[in-house]
Amino acid sequence: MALSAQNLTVGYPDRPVLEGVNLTLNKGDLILLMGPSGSGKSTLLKTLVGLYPKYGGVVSGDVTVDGQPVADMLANHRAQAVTMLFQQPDQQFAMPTVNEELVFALENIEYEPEKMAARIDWALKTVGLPDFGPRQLATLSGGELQKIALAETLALGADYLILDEPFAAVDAKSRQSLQVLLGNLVKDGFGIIISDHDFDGYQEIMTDFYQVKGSALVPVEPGDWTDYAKPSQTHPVPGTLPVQSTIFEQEQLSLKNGDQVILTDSDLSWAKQRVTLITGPNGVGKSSLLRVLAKLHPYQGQLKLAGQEVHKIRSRTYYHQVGLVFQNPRDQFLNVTVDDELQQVQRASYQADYWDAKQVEQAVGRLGLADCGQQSVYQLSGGQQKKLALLLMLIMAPPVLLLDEPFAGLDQDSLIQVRDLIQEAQQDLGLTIIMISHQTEVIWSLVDYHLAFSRAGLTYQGEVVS
Amino acid sequence: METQATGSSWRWSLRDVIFLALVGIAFGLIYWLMDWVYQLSGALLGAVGLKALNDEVTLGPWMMAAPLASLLLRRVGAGLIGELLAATGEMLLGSSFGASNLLSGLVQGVGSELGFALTGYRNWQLGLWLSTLTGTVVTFAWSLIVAGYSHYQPGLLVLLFVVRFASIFLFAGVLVKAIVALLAKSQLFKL
Amino acid sequence: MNASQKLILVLLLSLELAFTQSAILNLMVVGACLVAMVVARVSWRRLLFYLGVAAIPVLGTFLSFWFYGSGSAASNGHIAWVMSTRLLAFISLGAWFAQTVNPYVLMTALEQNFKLSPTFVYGILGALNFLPKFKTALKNVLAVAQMRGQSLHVWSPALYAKALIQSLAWSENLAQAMTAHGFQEGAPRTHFRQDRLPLLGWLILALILVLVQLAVFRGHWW
Repeated sequence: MALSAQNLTVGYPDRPVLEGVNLTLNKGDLILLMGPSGSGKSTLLKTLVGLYPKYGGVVSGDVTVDGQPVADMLANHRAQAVTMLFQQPDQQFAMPTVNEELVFALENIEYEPEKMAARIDWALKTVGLPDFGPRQLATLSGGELQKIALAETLALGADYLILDEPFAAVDAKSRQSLQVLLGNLVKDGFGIIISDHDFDGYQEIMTDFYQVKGSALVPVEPGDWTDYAKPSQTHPVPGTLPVQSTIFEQEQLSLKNGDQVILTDSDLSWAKQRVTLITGPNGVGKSSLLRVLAKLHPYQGQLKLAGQEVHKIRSRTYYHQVGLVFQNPRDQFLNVTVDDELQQVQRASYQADYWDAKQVEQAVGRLGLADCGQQSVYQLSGGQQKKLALLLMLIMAPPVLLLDEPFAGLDQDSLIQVRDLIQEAQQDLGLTIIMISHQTEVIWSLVDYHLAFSRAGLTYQGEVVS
Repeated sequence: METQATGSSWRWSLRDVIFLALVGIAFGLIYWLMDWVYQLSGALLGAVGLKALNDEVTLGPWMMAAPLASLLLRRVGAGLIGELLAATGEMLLGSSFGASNLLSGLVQGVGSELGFALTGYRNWQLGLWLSTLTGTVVTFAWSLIVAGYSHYQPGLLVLLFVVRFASIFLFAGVLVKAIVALLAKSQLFKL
Repeated sequence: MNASQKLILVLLLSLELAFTQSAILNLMVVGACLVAMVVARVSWRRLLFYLGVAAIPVLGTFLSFWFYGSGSAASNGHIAWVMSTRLLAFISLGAWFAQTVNPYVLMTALEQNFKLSPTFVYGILGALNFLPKFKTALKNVLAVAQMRGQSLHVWSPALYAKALIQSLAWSENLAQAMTAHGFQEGAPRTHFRQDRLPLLGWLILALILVLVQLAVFRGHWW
C-alpha cells in the first residue's frame, strides 16, 4: 500500500527533464523535495497525481497508487486516493465560497448529500478554520487559501497528498502553522510529498529528503540534513542615513491589500540613483508596495515622486519616469518573438545612445539568449523569460526602475550575469533601482540601501544578511 | 449547449470549456468598457438623430468573441457559445442594453457561426470571411424585423448596411485574423 | 420562481417585446421590473445607476426615429416612442434579472432542471472567479505598454492576444485543480442542494404571460 513511481522519466517533447526516478511514498512518510526552478519538480509531482500526461508533459514509466496506475484512473476515483495542493493558492478553486467549494468536491465523488455538512465541519476543524464555511475565497490570504485547499483534500478522503511549493505566497506564521498541521497528518497515517525552495522547518517533521541534481532525483542521507540549515553571513551596506538625495518621499503612507492592512502611517525617503533592496517574509505585502510605487495600487497619505504627488501625475508622464519589472515575466511581454521584443525597446529606449546594437548584442549574449531570436517568448524556459523581461526594461532605462524578484529561479551563472548587468547599467546611466529579492547571497554587493519590511513597517538596516 | 453527444469531436474537455468561458468573460469586460465609448459617441451622434449610425460603427468589436472562439477551438458551436457568454457577462456587469444583450448575443453568435457552418467546418480561413458576411446579413435582418429598421428611409438603410459590414469586416474579420496570426506565432495554440 | 424559470420568463418576454409594437406594454414591463426590484430591496444607488446608463441610448433612439423615420411625422413619432420605451423595457428586464439571480444558483439550477452538462456548469462558474484578475491584468498590460513606449488601442491585435494567452494559462491551471479535486467529465455527481422547478413558479410565469397577451390585445384597440 503506497504511492510509487518506477523508472519514471518526465519532461517535454524536445527534452526529458527528470530521468529514471524511483520513489515510494508510504503512509506515514513525509518526503521533502528540493531543487532549482525549472528542474522538473512540478512536472514530476503532477505526474504522481495523474494530471500529466493528460494535461501536458511527456511521461514514460509507471506510477501506481495502492497498485493501480494513476493515469488510467477516473478523476473522481483518483481524488479519493491521491490529490494535490498547487503553487498559486488563488487559482485552484472553482466556486466563490469555502462551503460551496467543498460541496463541489464532495459532489464530484458522489458523497451522500446528508453527510456532507458533517464532513465539511470536520475538515475545516482539522485545519483550524472551523468558522470559515461561509467566507468568500476572494477575501482570504494566501495562507488561509492553502489551509482551505488542505481541508478540501482531507474531505475528499485522499491518503496521499502532493504539495507543489505550497508556501510560495504564504507568510511565515501561516507557513509554520501549516507545517505543524502536516506533521500531525503524517502521524495520523497520511503520506505527503512536498516541494519547497526553503529548508526551514522541515527537519523535525520529514522522513525522507530528495534533491534534484542535473536530471536525477538524489536522496540526501539524514546525517547530511543539518548542512542545509546554513549559518547566515552579514554584509554591511554602504548607504549613509539619513538619505541625502531622494527620489520618492512618503508621509503617513498607508496601504491595504483587499481587507488586509499591510502598512500604516509610514514616513520614509527613498535614495535617488542608488540601489535599494527590500526584503521581508512572504505575504507581508512587498509586491503591493512596489505596485504602489508603480502607480498600480491605491494608497492613503502622501507619496511624492520628485516632489509631485504620485496619483496626481498622469500615467503617460509617470511611466516615462518609472518602470516596473513584474515578478511574472509574462506580464512584461507585448510582442511575440524575442527579436520583435528587443527591436521594440531599442526603438523606444530613453538611452538609445548607450544601448546601441553592439551593447544590446553583448548583453543578449551574456544572458545566453543569443540563439533565441526567432523563438516565441512564451516558449522560452522560465529562467530565460525572467532574463529577457529584465533586459527589456534595462534597455528602456527609465530613470527609476522597480524590480520584483528579478533573481528568482535563476541558476548560479545567470544570477551573476544578471547582477553585473544591473550594476553596470545602474552606474553608467545613473538609474534609481528599487528591488525585492529573497536571494541575497550573490547579490548583496549590488545593494546601497536595505529596507526590511515586516508587520512593524519599513526600516532601514545597516547590513544585508545572506 | 449540451455537447455530450456521440462523436468525440462533440465532447468538450473541461479545459476547453474554461478557456471558452474565460474568452467570454474577457470580451464581456471589453464590451462593458466599450459600452462607455459607445455611450459617449452615442451622445454626440444621438443629439443629431443619428444614433443608428453609431450602432453600426461600433458593432464590429461586439462581434469578435464568436469568430475568435471558433478559430481557436475549431469546434461546432464554439462561436455561438462564446458570443452568448460574452453577452451574458456584459449584462451581469450592468450594460445599457440589459436583457436584449442575451437576444443580440444569440443572434450575433448564430450569424457568425453560420459562416463557418457553410464550409462544413472544414475551411476555417474561408469560414472567417464568410462569417463576417453572414454575421452582417443575419444581424441586419434582425434589426429590420425587430429594431424597427424597416421604418427608416431606404437611402439611410443602405448606408447603415454598408457601415455595419465595414465595421464587422474590420474588427471581426481583419483584426481577428491578425490576433490569430499573433497567437499562432506564440506557438501556444495548436493552429 | 426559481432561477431557471426567471431565465425563461426574461427570454420569452424579451422575444415578445421585440416583436410587439406597444409602448404601453413596454412601460408596463418597466413598471413591473421597478416594483419587483424595490420589493427585492435593490439599493436606490443601483437603480439610479441603471437609469443613468439608460438615459442616453433611450433618448438617442427616440431622436433617430423622429428625424429619420420613413413615414409621416405622426407615424415617426409613434415608432420613436415605441422603440425608445422598448429599449427601456429591455434594460429593466436585464437589471431585474441581474439583481435578483445569483449566477451560481442559476447554473446549478440549469444543471438539475435541464440537464445542462456539468462540464459547462462548473467550467463557466470556475471561470467567473477570474473576472477581478482580468481587471488587474488589463491594468498591467496598459501600464507595461506605456512603460515601454508602445501604444495599445482597441484595434491593437497585441491587446487581445495578451488576454487570450492569459486565458489559456488560467484555463490550464484551473482545469488541473478541478481534476485533482475529483471533477471528471461525464461522470455522475450527487447534489447537495436539490433545485426543483416549483409549480407556483410555473403558475406565476403563466399568469404574467397571460397578462402580457391581454395587454397586447387591448393595445390594438387603444
